[in-house]
This record gives sequence, structure tokens and C-alpha cells, in this order.
Amino acid sequence: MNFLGAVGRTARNALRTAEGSEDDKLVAQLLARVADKEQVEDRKEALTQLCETVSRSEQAQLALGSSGFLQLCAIVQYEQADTEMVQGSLEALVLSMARRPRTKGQNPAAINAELFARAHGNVQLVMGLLKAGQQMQNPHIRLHAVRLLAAIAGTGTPRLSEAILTSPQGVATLMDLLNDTEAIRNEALLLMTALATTSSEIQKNAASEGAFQRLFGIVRDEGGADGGIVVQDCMQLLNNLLQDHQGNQLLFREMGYLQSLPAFLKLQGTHAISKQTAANLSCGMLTLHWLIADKKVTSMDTNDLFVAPLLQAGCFEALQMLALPFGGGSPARLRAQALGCLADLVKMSTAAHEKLMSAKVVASRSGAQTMLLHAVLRAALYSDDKDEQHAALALLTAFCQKHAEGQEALAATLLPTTSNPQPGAPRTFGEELMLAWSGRSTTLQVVGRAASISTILLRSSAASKQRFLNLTFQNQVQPDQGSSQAPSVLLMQLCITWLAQTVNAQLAGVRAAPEAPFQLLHMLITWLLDCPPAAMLLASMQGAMSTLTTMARIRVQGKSDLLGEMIAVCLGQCMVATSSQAAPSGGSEMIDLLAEKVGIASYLELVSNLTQRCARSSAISAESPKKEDSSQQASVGEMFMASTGPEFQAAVGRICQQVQEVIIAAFQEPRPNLSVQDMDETGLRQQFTALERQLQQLQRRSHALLLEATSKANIPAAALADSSSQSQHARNHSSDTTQLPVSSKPQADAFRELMQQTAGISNSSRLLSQSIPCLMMLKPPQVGPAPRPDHHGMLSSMPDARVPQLEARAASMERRTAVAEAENSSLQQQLQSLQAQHLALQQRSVSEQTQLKDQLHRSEEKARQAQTSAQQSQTELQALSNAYSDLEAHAFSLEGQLKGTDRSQDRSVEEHIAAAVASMEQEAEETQNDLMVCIGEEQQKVERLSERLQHMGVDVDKLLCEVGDE
Amino acid sequence: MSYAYLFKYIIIGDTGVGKSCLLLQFTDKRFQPVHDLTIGVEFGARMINIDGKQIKLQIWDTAGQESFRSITRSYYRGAAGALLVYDITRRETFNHLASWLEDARQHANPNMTIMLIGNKSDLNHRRAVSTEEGEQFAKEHGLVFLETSAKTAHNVEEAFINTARKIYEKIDQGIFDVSNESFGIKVGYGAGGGNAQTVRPGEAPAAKSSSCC
Repeated sequence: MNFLGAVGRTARNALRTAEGSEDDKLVAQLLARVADKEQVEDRKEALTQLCETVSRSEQAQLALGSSGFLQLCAIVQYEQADTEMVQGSLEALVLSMARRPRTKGQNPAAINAELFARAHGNVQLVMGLLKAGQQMQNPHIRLHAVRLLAAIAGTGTPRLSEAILTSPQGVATLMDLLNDTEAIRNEALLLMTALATTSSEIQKNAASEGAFQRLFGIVRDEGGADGGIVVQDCMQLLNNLLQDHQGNQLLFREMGYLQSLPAFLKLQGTHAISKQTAANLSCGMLTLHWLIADKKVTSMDTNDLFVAPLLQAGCFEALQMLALPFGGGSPARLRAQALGCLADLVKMSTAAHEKLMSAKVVASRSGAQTMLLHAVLRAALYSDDKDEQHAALALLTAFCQKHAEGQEALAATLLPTTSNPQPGAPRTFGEELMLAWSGRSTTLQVVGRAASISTILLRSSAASKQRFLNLTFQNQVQPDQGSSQAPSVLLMQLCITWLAQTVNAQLAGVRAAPEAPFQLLHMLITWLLDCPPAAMLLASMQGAMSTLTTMARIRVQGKSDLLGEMIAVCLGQCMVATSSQAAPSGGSEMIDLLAEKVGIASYLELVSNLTQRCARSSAISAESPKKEDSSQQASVGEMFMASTGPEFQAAVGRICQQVQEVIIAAFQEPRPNLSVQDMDETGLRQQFTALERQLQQLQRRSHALLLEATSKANIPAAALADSSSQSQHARNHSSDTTQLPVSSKPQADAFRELMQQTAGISNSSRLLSQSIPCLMMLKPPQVGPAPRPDHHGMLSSMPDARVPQLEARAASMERRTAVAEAENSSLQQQLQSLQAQHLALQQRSVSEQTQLKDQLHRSEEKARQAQTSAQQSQTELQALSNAYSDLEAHAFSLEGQLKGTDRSQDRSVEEHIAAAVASMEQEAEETQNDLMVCIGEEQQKVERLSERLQHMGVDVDKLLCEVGDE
Repeated sequence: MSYAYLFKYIIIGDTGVGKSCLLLQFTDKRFQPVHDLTIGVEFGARMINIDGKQIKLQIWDTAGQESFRSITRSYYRGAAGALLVYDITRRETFNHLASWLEDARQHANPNMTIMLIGNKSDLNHRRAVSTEEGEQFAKEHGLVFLETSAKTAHNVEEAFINTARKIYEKIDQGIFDVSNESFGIKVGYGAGGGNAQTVRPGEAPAAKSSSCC
């Protein structure tokens, strides 16, 4: 099969090449026929065939480009009387620059356009056909001329705009075409649209030639936004004129066109929007975007200059209609764009913000009015279109950001529901949001979105955070608990329940709402941020901590990803809050829980991973917003992290740091004495806790050491490379050899340090392993009846009642001891591997040192050689300086001789110069005479030729002028 | 925002004579001693009042450098007024006036009002062109003349407003066909005196019978 395939391919290629050469020959033949002026009819037929061939074959296109342009341009220039020929030539030129749908490798259109535009006269020639004075010319020729320019512009070559800018009134000529016949006007629109993207000078010049007026004129004539594709072309050109061009934007404003935009965007009636109208409106909204949002420097001026007049002209209302599904049946993409424009306006202007706050819209088919914000919320919660949902969320963000009162007003609509919600659709923003959290038919996706919206309300608002703490819901989520037992749940509880559900769904491989857990955690972290009561609530909530730690552990066991890290941050917030609330052992209880369920080292790793991720994410978002990731889970996480913004990332970084500090502080508490005397139950407990802490500290230290060791293991290789380069250097410059031993010194220090640390750890772990059996022995008899206050501060007077309690405690201690033992043994293993690494490092460093010593010896030898050569050079230098002083003496004597001869030479030199000047003058005169004779002869020739040409009916003066111009 | 007329201006002259500073002084009422060289052309606008009529000036400030000459030439068309600027402390900028005039005559409409401006009058101690010479040149070529200082704002308003007044007079005399936009004049709201007509930009101007031809 392969063989056959290869043969087939070769045959096809051969055929193609043969075809190609056939086409080349054909084009050459046709061009030869076109050149033959004797056969008038055959020329025309040949030209028609040429057009056919070029439109059919890529090769013919290239062939015409390489050999036919000169000939075709000559026809256009000199045979203007024969419109058929000129038209045919122009058509052939257009076809030679037509883009083909699939072009492999070379692009004939681009190559030909470049070839054509490179010759300056060509573009001028075509422009000449379009000049105002040529109005009376055949419209078909003009149409072909515009098409030719549009085809060249379509390839994106900058040469065309350069040529047009240098031709006098070039842009003006093209702009005049917008007042020409419909066909020419439409082609000119496309031409200008393409040209405006290649040069800002063209953008500016077109605007100064009244482009805005002409474009809006055409739009109006074509029926506004309901018009056809010409309207879209006009709006496209308008966008290209305004994009990234502050000067044109200012002109647009100053000439009063801002008011025209809202009028254009205003929907006429409530009929469904056609595809073309949607495209037209979309272009209009893009114009709006260039004018308001796309400012390199966002200043207050933008509001005064652009936003205020736009609002005054009804821009907000027009957009509002476009943004709503029931406004005029606009498609989702258009709604998303309108929401985006509204967000732009709200960001820029307080007036727009106020409008959004108070605007009411018809948002249902029944005609009932609702607040615009409520309608936006519905889009943010329930839209099937991702763009629309994102845009609605962005609008809500814009509304709450920098406008604390708006955020507060929205949050105030959230009220605790104590009884069954009212039947029917929710009436306020708050009701809608609450329903999304706890409605019967709510989904994970909707809850995730509700969390995102809640995040917006919570962000940097202490009042909202407090308000959210008191929010209660009718419990409809957990039917198993029954509404009679738990009539209402707190939002925090609901959050944790949903979080557990989303995480479980993810573990079960459900891909329905991949963002939901991130959105929920984002909300939780935002809520807990700078709000200790919220953190305390979460920490004290029954089962919450264990759910979170379990989830963190699950993620850890899989792979360390963003979800586990965010849970770790959430837990950290609780830890920081409880430890700073002076609750006795509050923080340490959490640390114990973490140690048991996750492991402190793993936990710290999670936290530090997130810190790094935040730094990376902000770096990525600074460079490019989108980054492809291999695994979908990770990419959802990365994308989510990038979308959270730098403030959140900074806050997370801060929390991570606090968490690390709290844990370190917990481990740096005074270490209790390890003696096993005087062991009552309290003492035992204290000692055990201390022991456990010590273990964890050790674990952490060993983790750090391990990291250090691995990083240091990389040092020798680098140091080796470094020192080898240094020795290279040393071979060239013997003086540098003293630096060699220095490079190995820090390494030796690092080894020593590492060795000391390892010894320290191994000592403490030995101590620990000795104390564990000791404890085990002591534990059972130590259940003495020492009376002590229990949790409620009451003295327990019944020792037998405490027995089971103590037994339970003993059992837990036994369990902990087992854990401690396990951790200790793993620690020992780590230590062993560490020691092995040290050994390897040491060996390497010894071999390295011997190498370095060798190099040192070699370099020293080189230095000695260099010294001897230096001595040699010194003696040579001495000899040279002697020779130089001899020369100097000689020079002095010569100078003396010269001074003597100078005076006699002066006179003779003057005579020589005079003679030379005279001879040169004579020569010049002769040459001039010759030239005059030549010019006379040429003049005679020109005159005779002119006479002959005049006889033949040629306009000699024009021809001479053209020759002169060239 | 509405205006009775819109006049298109162009500012020309050698590089460094203060064209951009004149525009900035006129539109923003400030002086910027150090600024970037103008590339191609820059745009500015301001509303003025003549005889109770609001007139919008659309001003195109061009680059003086020779390399931009072909670009700036395309802005002559459709200009109703031109400010031809030289620097009174640099003789050569005065000497080049003739070539600028030739350019203007070649590419602009013949009825364009040209105001000759000797800028930097605050630097009198470094003067290289006398006021009389400027006046003489203006007289010979039928131009209006003023010496200005973009730094102190001396005569800057007058330069722009007097030009507008000249154009306005020409309209009154029927020299311009205001319906033909190639003259650089656009009719806006209230141009027709008593019978005010509204012409909103972006909409076709209501047909106005020309006052000449």
C-alpha cells in the first residue's frame, strides 16, 4: 500500500509540475498574442483566455505576475481609448491578486501584490484612473481599478498605503469614491477598511477627509442597523478608523458623532433581530468599546469627553435593551457584548453606575417590570451562554467595585429566610440569589455561580461579611435530615455541604461544573479574609473542620492541585483566627487535627505551593492571560486562579505567610522536660503533646533539610562547571589562579552544616524513640483519680465516672503513640537517605577537590612560564627603547636639514601650481566645448524626432514631460 | 455642541517654528516648552464665537519636516484657512515662506484664507526678522499678518479668530459656496440667521441654497 501510495504521490506531483509548466507556457503564449497589435480581435480573445487561465490556475497566476504586469500596465496606460482592452487588462491584474482558499507554501496573491506595488508607477497609474477628473470615464474601468486596489490591500502589503500616501490627494481620491455609484462605493469601503489597518496616517487622513460623515450618511441611507451588509462594512471601516487612534477618537467626538452611536444601537421595535442586524449592532458596540474602554491611559477625561455625552444621548438605554433576552430577542452573543459595554460604562462613570442601580426593565413576556440588576443576576446565574454569563458577572463586578454603596445596597437585599419562601418568582436580587443557593432545583453549576456573585458582594466589605454570617436558609438541600429537625441552616453550613458535594462529584468524575468547587472556595476565602468571626464560625462548626481536612487529604493523596491548596488556605484562615483569639489551645487543636489527618509537612507543602502558584499566576496574567495546560482539571484551576485578580492572590499570599508563622510559633513553644518521673495524667498528656509537637517539628525540619539537601546536591555540578571555566581562565591568565581554592570553600561549609544538622536530627530522633516505649510503659497505670476541672469548669467528684473517659484518652494516646512511632520510623528512613546523599556529596567533593588541585598545579606552572616570558619581554623592550632614542636623534638632525631646504622650495612650488591650474582650465574649456556640441546634436535629434512623432499624431509635449518626470 | 459653521484650518511652516505650541495654546490654553516632534499631522478643535455665531474650528497641525511633506499636502484640500508660521528668531524660516505659499497655492483651494504668523515674539532680543519685513511679505502676497507668542499667548486668540472672521466675511460676501465641502466649510445649526436649521453631524445637512453662483 505504502509503495503504491508513494507511486501515486509521485505521479500526481509529476502531473502537477507538468500542468504547472503547461500553464507557464500558456500564459507566455497568451501574452504574446495580446502583444500583437496587428490582430485586434485575437488580442481581445487572448486577453479573455488569459483571465480564464489565471482564475483557474495558481501557476498561471504566478506566471502572469512574473512576466505580464509590465505589458498589462502598458495597455492601461497607453491604450485608454480601447476600453475593452483596458478593462480586460485590469481584470487580469485583479485575478492575478485574487486570494485562493487553500494555498500551500507560497501565496501567489501576496507575491503578485508585492511585485505590483513595488513599482511605484503602477499604483499611481491605477489611482490616475480614479481621479476626480476621470468621472466621465467608463464606470467599469473605475470599478475594476478599485477592485484591483482592494485586492492588493487585501494581501496586507504596506507598500500600497505608502504609494497612496505619496500620491497627491491619494486618500482624498479614494474617499471621494464613497460618493460614487453603489458598486464602486461598496468596493471602496472594502478597500479603505483594509487600508486603515495598515497605516495610521491613512486612518488619520481618511478621517480628515470627512470619513465619519460619509459613513454615517451611507448607514442612514441603507436603513441604519436594520440595513444590509453595506452597513456592516461601514461600521467595520469606522472601527478600523477609531481603533487605537486617539486623534481620530477625539475628532469623532469633537465633530459630534458620539451622539450618532446610541441612535444606531437603539432597537427599533421588539421584533426578533436578524442575523445581519445582529452583525451590524455588534460592529456598533465594538465602536463603542474602542471609544470608552480601550484607552491606554484611563483618565477622568475619558468620562467627561466620551462617556458623559454617550449617556446623554441614550447609550445606556440602548445597550440595556440589547442586553436583555426579552428586549428584542437579541441573540446571546449580542447580549454578552451589550453587557460588556454596560460594564465598560459603569466602570468609567458614576452616572452610569447610578443608572444601573435604578434602571427597571421589562424582563418577562408578561410585561412585568423588574430591576435591571435583578435581570443581570439572572443572566449571571442561569445563562446557557458562557460569554453572556461571564459578561453579566463582569457587569456585577463593575457595579460593586469602587462603589461601596452599590455593593452595600445589593447585599442589603439578602434577608434570612425563616419561613417557607413566597410562591412565585423571586422579586428581589436577594431572593433570587438565595434561591440559587438553596432552591429545590438548583444545580452544582448554579451554586458555583451563586458563590461567584456572593464573592463580589463580600469583597472588601466588612458589613457584607457580617450580614452573610446571619443568613439562614430553609434546608432543602439535605432531605435526609428532614426539615422538622433542622428548620434552617446557615449559609456557611450550606457552603461546606455544597463544597463536599462538588468535590465528591469531581472525585466521581462528573465534569458538569468543574469550576464550582473553586468558586465556592474563592467565596469562602474571601469571606474569611479579615473577618475573624466568620473564621471562628467555620472552625467551630460541627464537622466542618473534619470535612475540610478530609477533602484536603483526599486531594493530597491524589496529586497536589489547586483545590487542595485552596482548602489548605481556608483551614489556615481558621487556624490563624483561632490562635489569635486567645482561645486556649484553639490553634493547637487545629494543628493536631491537621497533623493527624493531613500531616503538617504535607499541609505546609500545600500552602507553599499555593504561594508559588499565586506568584506564577500573577506573572502569567501580566504576560498573557491565556495559558494552555495539559490536564483539564489543572487548566480549569489555572484559569480560575488567573481570573481571581491580583488582590485576591496577594491576600492568599498573606494568609499563607500567617499560617506558616502560626505553625512555627506553635512548634517553638517551650519544650517540656522529657523526664518520666512524677507522671500524673495531666503531666502525661502535656508530655505527649510536647512529644508529638517535637515529632512534627522534626518532620518539618527534615522536610526542609531534604529540600536543602536536594538543592545543595545541585550545587556541586554547578560549582564544577564554574570552577572548570575558572581554570580555563586561569590557564590564560596565570594571575587568576589564586581564586581557585576559594570556589570549593562554601561547598565545604555547606557539607559541614549539613552534617551537623543531620547529627542533630538523628540525636533527637534517637531520644524520641527511647522515650516512646517509656511512655507506653507508663501510660496504663497513670489513670489515677487526680481531681481536675472538666470542660464545664465543674469539679468532678466521682472517680468511677472518669474511668471510661480516661480509658478513652489512654486509647487515643496509644493511637497517637503508634502514629508517632510510624512517623519516627519514616523520619529515620528519610535520615538514612539523607545520610546516603551526604556521603555521595562528600565523595564528589573529594574527587572534585583533587581535580581542582591538579588544575591549580598546572596553572601555577603556567604562571611560572608566563613570568619568564615577561622577563624576556622586558629585556626586549629595553632594546627597543634604546633603538627609539637613536631614531629620535636621527629625526632631529633631519629636521634641521629640512629647514634649510624649505625656503628654496617654496618658490618653485608656486610656479608648479600656477602651471597646473592653467592646464586644467584649458582642459575644462575643451570638455565644455565638446559637451555643447553633443547637446546641440541631441537637441537636433529631439527636434527631428518630435516632428516625426507629431506627424504620427503623438502628443510630444506630454511625452517629453513624462520623460522629464521619470 | 451645535455650531453655525465648521471651518477647517491647517497650520503650516518650517519645523520648530511653534505650530504645535500655537495649537495647544489655542485649544488648551497652555504652553509646553518641550514636546515630541509632530509626526504627520495632529488634530485639535475649539469653538469660537463671531458676531454671536458659534463657529467650530477643526485644526490640523502639520509636521514641518520635509520628509512628511507628501503626507501634509493631503490636508490642504478642503481647508478654509491656513496659518503660515515662521520663527522671528530664525531667518531661514522666513526665507522658506515662499515655498510654503507655493505649496498651499498648488494644493489648496484658491479662496483659502492665509494668515502669516511671526511666532516667538517674546524672544524680541533674539529677533532676526523685523516686523516690517513680515508686514511687507504679507502685503505682497495678500496675506493677513500678526506676530504672536505661543509662550505668553500674545495674539494667539487673535490669529485664529481673525482668520475665522475673514472666512466668515467671505461667506457673507458670497465668495464661498458653503454647500460645497471642498471649501473647508460646513454649515451647522443656525447658520442661516433667522431661519435656523438644524444640521446634526452624522446626518445629511439639510439642502441649503448656496449664496453664490
